[in-house]
Amino acid sequence: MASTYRFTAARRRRGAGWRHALCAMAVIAVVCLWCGLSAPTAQADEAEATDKCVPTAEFGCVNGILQGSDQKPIAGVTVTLGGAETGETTTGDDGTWAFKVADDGKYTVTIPQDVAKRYGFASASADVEIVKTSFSKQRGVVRFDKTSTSDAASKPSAAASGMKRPATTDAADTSGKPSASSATWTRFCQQLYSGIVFGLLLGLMSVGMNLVYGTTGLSSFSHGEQVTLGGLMAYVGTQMLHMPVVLSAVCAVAVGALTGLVQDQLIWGPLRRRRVGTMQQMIVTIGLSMALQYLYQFFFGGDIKGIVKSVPEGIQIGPITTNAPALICAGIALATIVGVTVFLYCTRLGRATRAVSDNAALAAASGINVDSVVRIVWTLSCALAALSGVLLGIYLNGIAWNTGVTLLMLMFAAVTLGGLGTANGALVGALVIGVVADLSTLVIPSDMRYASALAILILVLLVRPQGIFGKRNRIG
Amino acid sequence: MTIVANILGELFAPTTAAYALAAIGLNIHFGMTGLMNMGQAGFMLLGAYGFAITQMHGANLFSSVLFALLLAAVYALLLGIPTLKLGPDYLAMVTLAAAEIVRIVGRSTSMTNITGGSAGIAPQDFTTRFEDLSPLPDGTSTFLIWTYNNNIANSWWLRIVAWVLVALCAFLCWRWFRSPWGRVLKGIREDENAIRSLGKSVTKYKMQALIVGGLFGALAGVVFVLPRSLNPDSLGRTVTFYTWTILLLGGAATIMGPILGSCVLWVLLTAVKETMRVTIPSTVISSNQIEALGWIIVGVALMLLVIFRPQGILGNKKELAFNG
Amino acid sequence: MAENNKAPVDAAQRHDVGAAPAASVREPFYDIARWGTKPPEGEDLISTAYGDKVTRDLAFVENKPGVHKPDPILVADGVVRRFGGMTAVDVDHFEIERHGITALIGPNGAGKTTFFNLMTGFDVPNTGSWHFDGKDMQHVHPEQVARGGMVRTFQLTKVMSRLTVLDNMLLGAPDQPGEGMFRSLFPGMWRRKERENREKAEALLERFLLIKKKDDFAGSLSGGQRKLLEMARALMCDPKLVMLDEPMAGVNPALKQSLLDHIISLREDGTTVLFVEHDINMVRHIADWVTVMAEGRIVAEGQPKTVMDDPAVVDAYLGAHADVDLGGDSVLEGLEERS
Repeated sequence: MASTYRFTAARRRRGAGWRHALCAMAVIAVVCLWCGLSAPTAQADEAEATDKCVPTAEFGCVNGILQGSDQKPIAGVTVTLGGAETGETTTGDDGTWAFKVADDGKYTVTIPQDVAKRYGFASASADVEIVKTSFSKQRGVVRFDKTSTSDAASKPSAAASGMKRPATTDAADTSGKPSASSATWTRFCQQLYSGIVFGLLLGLMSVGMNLVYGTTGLSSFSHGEQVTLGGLMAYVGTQMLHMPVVLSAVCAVAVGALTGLVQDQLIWGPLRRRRVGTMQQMIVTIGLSMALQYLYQFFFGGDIKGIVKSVPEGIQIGPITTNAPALICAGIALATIVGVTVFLYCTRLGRATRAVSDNAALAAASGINVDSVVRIVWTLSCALAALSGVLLGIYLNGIAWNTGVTLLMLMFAAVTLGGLGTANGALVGALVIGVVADLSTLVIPSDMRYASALAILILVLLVRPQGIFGKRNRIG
Repeated sequence: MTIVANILGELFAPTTAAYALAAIGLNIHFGMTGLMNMGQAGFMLLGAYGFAITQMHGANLFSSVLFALLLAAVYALLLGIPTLKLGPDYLAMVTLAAAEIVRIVGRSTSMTNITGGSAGIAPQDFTTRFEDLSPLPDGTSTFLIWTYNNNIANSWWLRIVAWVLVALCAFLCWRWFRSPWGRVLKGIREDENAIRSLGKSVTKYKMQALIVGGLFGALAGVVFVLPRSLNPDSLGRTVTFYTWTILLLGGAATIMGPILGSCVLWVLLTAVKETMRVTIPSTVISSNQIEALGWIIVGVALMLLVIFRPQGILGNKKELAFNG
Repeated sequence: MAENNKAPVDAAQRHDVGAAPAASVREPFYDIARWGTKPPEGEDLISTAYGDKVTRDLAFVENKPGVHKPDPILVADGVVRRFGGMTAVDVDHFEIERHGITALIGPNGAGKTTFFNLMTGFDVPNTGSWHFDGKDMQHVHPEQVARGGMVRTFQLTKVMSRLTVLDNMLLGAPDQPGEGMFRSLFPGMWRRKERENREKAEALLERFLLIKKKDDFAGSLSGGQRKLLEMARALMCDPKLVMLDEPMAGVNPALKQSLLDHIISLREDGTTVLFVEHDINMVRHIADWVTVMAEGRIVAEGQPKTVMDDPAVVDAYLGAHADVDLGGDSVLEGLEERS
């Protein structure tokens, strides 16, 4: 069953005319993206100062907690917002301040110089970028504390970024001191790094999806919800049950694995036994995806849930600013992917899995219990998704009911790019997608970054329809 | 009484018509040709943009609609060239991805001058010319239990135009279904290599189907935004999934299926939501949660439908549009 | 094997007992449909006009791989197709005689189906050129190949399961104006052609014993009936060359009998036939020419009678079981009784 849907008709070579048309298409796509750049930015509006800000579809958030080096909150300081919208507020008793902003763009947050000097901040202003569509950039957390240990002395110490994600800091631009090329270089490295980290997390999500595709021929649209589930369960663990992070993560993964098992028992197993086609099953996954998404929204609400509340220390490695949780997350993701690969190639069960991927009927004939292999694959896949959800939630400092579905497209892109159903394709595809998405922000507006990743997917399909690692099938 | 009127009003609401149109387009893609188009919302959004933006710049109504259709056709062409030669999974993913690209680019801040960014385009910017065209007198009219404005926004005029369009498209679809052209498309749905071996240019037919379905989608997009503002996020993936639910509910590869599906879905969904709003106090379940509950119902309905009655209400079990 | 000697039903002998007088030799006999699978009492098989011509022509052709033939319809040169490291097809030179029935035989994995795919544009060779009826067929799309008169069937039958048998047939008809997107909206423009096609399709279905099934979904047919339907569908466009990929695979012996008749009658309609088959005895009785493939190459060619004795064939095809009779003789009994 798996093989029937794989790249059936992917072979006919067209003449040069088609190629030209494709080139034209690529050019149009690029022009579309560029014309966005030339559009002048809107007039500055008034930003709304609030006590607490929750990003929504209409509003992004610029917020932070003003603390001294002793971690004590500083109250009553005037915070000024500049950029696409302007505003002014004072910090609360707990040092918190927040702006609700309606426009995407770059914002500069300033506190009085004397305050900065008194508390020993390296700078009195910091930049953030807000992109309401990007769940990682709809909130900008601003810090003024002393993290600057780096070369450029004038670099603002603020680790200002999309939800603690240092990748997108544009601080180097504002410092004005380093030459333009070195700033670009720094930014390039930073984006490359964040792209790789994101790619690893994406790869972890996609591996499970690809395993399911390989063994059952099903493109699961509900995989994103499994990712969200992992993040939300970790949130439940840390914030509602007050468990330590690691324990919550383990529980979340266990819950994820359990849902995979239950799903296979209740839905996919019976469907397979009834010989329901994969296209039909795919639409079932769409229904499941919708139901789960809104179930999460029903119970958890529409805002972003932070798994870990504290803001970690930044670490400077060469031109890259990062922090320990990001590195740990990337490390765990990489280790898990390697582990899965080892499992696939070096264990009996893994070999059975690959046999089922290759030809389920043949595998069944040679004594492999296909049903139990598929059950294990579903369980594993959902567990991996849950793990990636936890890591993502920690890395991006929050998870929302629709995080998974936002990433679903990118997972599909990664899997397709790597070659549907191939074992390691997903990782490579995910890395490509992650890096392209983040690097593309160097040339196109950052709220179009996912568009560029998806455009890459389409372009790659033009050149190599079977994906990077896929094989073609014969006809007839 | 107002609740009943509201619920039954969904039966012929412009949005219902818009979804019916989109589902008719999807029916040409999926029901007839077997193309897994997972990005019908992309066609709709593009059509809506094409219409609204040209209207904003003062084009006349006819050329605006034409431009919307043209955009959708070009988009279909661009999508079709790389994907129609590939397997169904690829088409599904690429259409989904492309629809997202359209939405992401459309709502981007840097496109604010053209598309209005994430806030979209306000109705007064693009609906006036359509409303001026109405032959109906100003004011409101009541028909049986329904009272709507004659010309403005969610109006009788829009209802008439929308359903005339639906009827027209259904008629076209009916003609196509029973023609040799439709037969070739159905053949492609069954086995495209067999059709190829019989000397039919499969890619050409698939492209035609993709474009025609996309044009219906673009019309649907125009009808969809006329009673409200054009907001890119209101034409996201969920709209595509709604359209699928409608198509499968009514029955793929049938003429009346998409229309029936749209009416049934919206009436039922509104009925459930309205009943909950009235019966459950908002302290127990907030209005947001009721909205979410509506979605959950659609999702579960889609699952059950596909599992237990994949041919939908009108479909023939033997001529099921699913492969394998 | 001994049994076969009793009554070899080759073309020459059929001519001796055939119903066609010398005067009508030029007119191929079209009315085979009347007979269904079995000739009526007292009558015998078929005009053999084309069969005789081909037999005469091929009689002087040398039995060696890649030999030139008097009147080739398909000529392939240096066609090579590799999948990764494996060479699936490597054909130096190959010709198919016009109006002949050419059998392509060979063990599993010999590259027969791949060769079909290459010739019909469903796959693209790494190198090589081939001409059909004098036209260069390189870089020609499958649909254009079919429109040019070279129609194929598939080893795994491809019928449109959820269309009726008649619709399946109508899809095979060429030049239906109603298959244009806009013209299809105006029934006046295609009704007449549709009616003609329908008549033709019904005639063919009658000939292939499927007429009672014409309003059923093709998916409800048995495997053998699907083979018949696919063959009948291929004939809707009056092809010059039909390429049948294992037309007898999975067909029950009774139907096989009728399929054999159909293939012979195709030749007499002026259609050239190339078919892939595993059953050597069957091949021997209907083919005018046999080409043997093994490991992607053409290892032997020749008259059916002689090619079976070719050591290369015995080696490549029969391998260690050279003394085993591969074809079921039961199939041939019908033929023998008749002659």
